[in-house]
Amino acid sequence: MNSTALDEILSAVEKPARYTGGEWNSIVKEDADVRVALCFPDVYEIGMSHLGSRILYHVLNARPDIACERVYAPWTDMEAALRARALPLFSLETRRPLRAFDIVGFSLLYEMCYTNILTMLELAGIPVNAADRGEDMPLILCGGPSACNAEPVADFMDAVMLGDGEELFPEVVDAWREARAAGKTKREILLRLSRIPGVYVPSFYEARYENGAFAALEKREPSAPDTIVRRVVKDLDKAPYIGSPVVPNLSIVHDRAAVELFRGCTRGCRFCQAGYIYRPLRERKKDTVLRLARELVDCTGYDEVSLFSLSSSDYSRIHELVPELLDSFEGERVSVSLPSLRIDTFIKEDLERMQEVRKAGLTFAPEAGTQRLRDVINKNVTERDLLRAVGDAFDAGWTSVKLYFMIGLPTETDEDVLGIADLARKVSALFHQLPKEKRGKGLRLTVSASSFVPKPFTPFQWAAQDTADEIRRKQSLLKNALKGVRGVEFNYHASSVSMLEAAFSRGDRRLGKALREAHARGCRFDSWDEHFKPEAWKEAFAAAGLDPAYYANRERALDEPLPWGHMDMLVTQEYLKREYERALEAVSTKDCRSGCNGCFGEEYADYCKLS
Amino acid sequence: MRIIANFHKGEELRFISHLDVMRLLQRAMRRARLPLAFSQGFNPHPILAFASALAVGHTSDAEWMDVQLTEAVDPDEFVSRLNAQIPEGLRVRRALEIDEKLPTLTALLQRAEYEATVLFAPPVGRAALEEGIKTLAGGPIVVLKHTKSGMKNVDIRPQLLSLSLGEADEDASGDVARAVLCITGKLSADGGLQTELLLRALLSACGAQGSIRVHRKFLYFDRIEV
Repeated sequence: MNSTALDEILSAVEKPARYTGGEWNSIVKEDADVRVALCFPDVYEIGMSHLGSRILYHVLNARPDIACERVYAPWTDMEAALRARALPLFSLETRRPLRAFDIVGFSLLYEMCYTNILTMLELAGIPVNAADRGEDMPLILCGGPSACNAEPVADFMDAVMLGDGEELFPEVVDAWREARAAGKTKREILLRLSRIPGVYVPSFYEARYENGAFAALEKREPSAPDTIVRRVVKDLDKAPYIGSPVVPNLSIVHDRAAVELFRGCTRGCRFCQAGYIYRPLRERKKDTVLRLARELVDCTGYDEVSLFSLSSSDYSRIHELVPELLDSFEGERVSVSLPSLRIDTFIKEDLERMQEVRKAGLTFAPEAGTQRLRDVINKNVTERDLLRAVGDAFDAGWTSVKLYFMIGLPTETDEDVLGIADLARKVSALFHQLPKEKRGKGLRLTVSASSFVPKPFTPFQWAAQDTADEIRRKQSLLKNALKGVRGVEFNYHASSVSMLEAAFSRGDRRLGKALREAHARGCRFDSWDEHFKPEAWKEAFAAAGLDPAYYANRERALDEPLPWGHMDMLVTQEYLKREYERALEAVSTKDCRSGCNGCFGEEYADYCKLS
Repeated sequence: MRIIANFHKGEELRFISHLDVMRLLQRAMRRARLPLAFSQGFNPHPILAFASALAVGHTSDAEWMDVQLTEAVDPDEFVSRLNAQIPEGLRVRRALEIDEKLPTLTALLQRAEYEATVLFAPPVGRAALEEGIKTLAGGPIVVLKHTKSGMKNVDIRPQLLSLSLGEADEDASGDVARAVLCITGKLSADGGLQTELLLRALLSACGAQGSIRVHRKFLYFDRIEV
């Protein structure tokens, strides 16, 4: 790297520490056989908060032969500065140009970061289309939850890793290394990779369309697998965790020691992709959690431990864990936080003890405003659960409560939307009817309504998203209904972003063109309000000859071929269909901790201890 | 027990902000298991303060922290335990115990010495540079400055105590490509000399352009001999 030019750039950009590395616990290896760049297509503060890539950073760097370094999407000022000086995108650890790595892996956490992948490749001088990349280019991979439908980015990827990466990623590195040492060509390397369970090589398949609709994904390479089966780390308790995690020099979104309690979720909320694609439930033992929390606090100096999972209060021994954890940090001023609390499970005493150290806001997610709609989405909490939980929190002195809802859910009527306002009104009344001396100062009740986005591998993968106009109408209906509710603040998202998210989440390969067109029109950081360019996106879709509404707002027939049909996420399509039908009848399905619902079918039933 | 400690902020971490350094040191002290004292109140925080915030991008040999401990720790041990827990780019040089009744370091602060390196592009004539320095010394030095009431023209000459030319590299034609300037300026709780503004004024006084690097060399306090 030209360090003088870089110095000048860093002196001029916002938050230069995003690009300088040198953090405590970061791992710098001058020599290694294989260099892997873990790329996160969003800004440092977001990417550094992602647990999955931190696990992979540790797993890969634990191997002496592998050097794994981090690269985040440069903010727009940094991108402009790099372009102006013709400097390449570089890694944090050794300031190596991205192009000088052997393997470049992107984490796909959400659809609206896809344009940043193109920015990062372009700034690295790496052709964005896999087909245009020669033998001298790094192997470009992706993984993460959105990789379960990688079709919109399939043009850009050499290979896709499906499922847990702890075992899979090192296997891919090893296969690459052996094949490279044997002088294999890129195509031969990809052939070799395609034999690893969980690896999908998009160029070995071709999508066929009939009358403008996706018809089938056909193999171009006979030896490639028909379906790609998601990888699962069976024993999470023994799986490697984040080691000594990098302690960021600037404030990041989740700036605390996070211990993953378990992977998978048993609730079966029908809108929730994570609830299906991370099954089965795998818990870490309580003693392992206590040990990890201690190690993490000791090696980072963090004063907060977060017990992370999709639904932390569902942890089987949560009521033993929380007090034991608090006891183990007695006198050290370490607080414990539990994100993703369930309304129907937690207990007042835990709350009161957690509050001894720090009183953070509490978040509840009823998701829908009426019991009927909560039954549709299988969010099995009642109004009574919510009011009891919030009441406990108010009694314990909490004054800041967030309620998360979605609008645009399948079968939703105006009555359901207005139900959200009713709930908010009841919560507000609950606070204000407490005697003044018994409650905290002022209520801050945040009602947040996001727009429902149907996702692949959920029972709602066939459902239509409401049109942008309909979402806007419902938003203003709710906004009006919330007027006059004391202490309430209403948040919602731009409907056009949700529509694109819906298009990309259930998109096919043709969307690769829309991405390139949008990127060429300056689209970057599309999940950031200040950067989202709806007009440019409209033009981009038009230029690609595509209509986002076709992907977002159309209900699919149950027998329609799905662009992600070649991916096997273990939960069977039959199960998802059954759940969709039950949803439309507003019939709920029980938590699988209380009995197996058979989501894996016979073939993979033994993956799950609950079956 | 109250300890003040001098530390160096170098190249590797010069782009992290004052608040970032504060947080970094708090975490480092927790890792070092130093017995930090906490404030009382709703949101207790470690009693740790700095003498003066350093601008992002500057390096320094004269950073001072002021920390309260609940138990006695030998100052040398404080230095070694803390140094074992901080990344490259920060280094604690020495620590001393001071009287708990003394006011904050910021309140005792009087002036600071800087060494600024200017890379002229293109190089500037030596005579023009010396003339520029003389002009500034004669004052006033009116610069556009962020103030509470918006951007304003302000004379910063009263903040400047001394300005002299140190080492200078000349190119083949005798022009100065790189110059080191030694600056002493007022510095107190209410503010002080902003070196960037002074150096921008110097560039414009000698009709030159270039990039600036600032290194803080020394801080002078009232009632404490450091």
